[in-house]
Amino acid sequence: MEGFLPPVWAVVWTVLAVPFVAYGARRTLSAVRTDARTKALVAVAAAFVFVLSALKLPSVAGSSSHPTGTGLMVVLFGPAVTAFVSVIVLLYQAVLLAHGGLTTLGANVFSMGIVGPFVGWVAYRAVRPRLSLERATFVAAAVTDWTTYLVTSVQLGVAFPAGGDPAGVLAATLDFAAVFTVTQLPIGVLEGLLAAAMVGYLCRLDTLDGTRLGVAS
Amino acid sequence: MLGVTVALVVFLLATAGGNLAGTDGQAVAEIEDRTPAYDRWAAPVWAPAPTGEALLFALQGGVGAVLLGHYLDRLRTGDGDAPDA
Repeated sequence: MEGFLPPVWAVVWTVLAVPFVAYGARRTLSAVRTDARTKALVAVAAAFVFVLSALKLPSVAGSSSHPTGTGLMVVLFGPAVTAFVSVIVLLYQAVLLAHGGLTTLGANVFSMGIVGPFVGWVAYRAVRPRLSLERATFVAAAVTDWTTYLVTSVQLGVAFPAGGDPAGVLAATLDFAAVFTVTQLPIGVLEGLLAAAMVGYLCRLDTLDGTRLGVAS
Repeated sequence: MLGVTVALVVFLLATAGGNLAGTDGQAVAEIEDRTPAYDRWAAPVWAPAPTGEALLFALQGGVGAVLLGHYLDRLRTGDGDAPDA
């Protein structure tokens, strides 16, 4: 997508993303410095993002796409830390793989690192009192994935509207969402299952006290 | 849960068919459809060949998997509690 997002929008999304990423960097550093176990947990969640976002998964209708892998991090450390980690992953893909892009980095960080994780985190908080940790993680990861691609659709919709009015933006957003939705629905479910399995495993290792799981647990 | 995961993966692989269009490629096609006059204003300084791209994606997954295994092992064995070497 390098160079396809108009410069003005590249600047807008970058400027909007910077404060979240800066705050996330501080939160990440303080988490890493807490103790060796928290540091290892941060590394596990970050590596999980690395692995899952490297998967190019086939999906329905002959198309393929990537999971985001951010759901586990959202559940363990919240959206701010996730914002910082997604910058690292997206930079790797932009620089080494020419995938995504530096001009689209701000927009991608905003969708995959900020809004997606934040909405997923809100969903997690909402369902956690009623669901088990694994099921709540499933919800968080699936919602994070779907929201990420919905935000991408909105970003493309405002950059390439079908007309000059809000209705044109909406129409274009729906067109772009149609490209992503079919592909992303099953991938979001898969992502939820993998994140839930990983959280279950971490629980069995008895490593999870002191992180952000304690929402009425 | 493992069963559901495996079933979903098998379903996705089985229904995928031959040519897999990446959604970002489809989105670019949609952009070009809407605004034929639009020119990309930046291009990657370099891009790996298709096989190289697959390799680098695999490398990303591999590096991630090694880190994941390493730190899970630390957590599992309790070395995570020891000060860093």
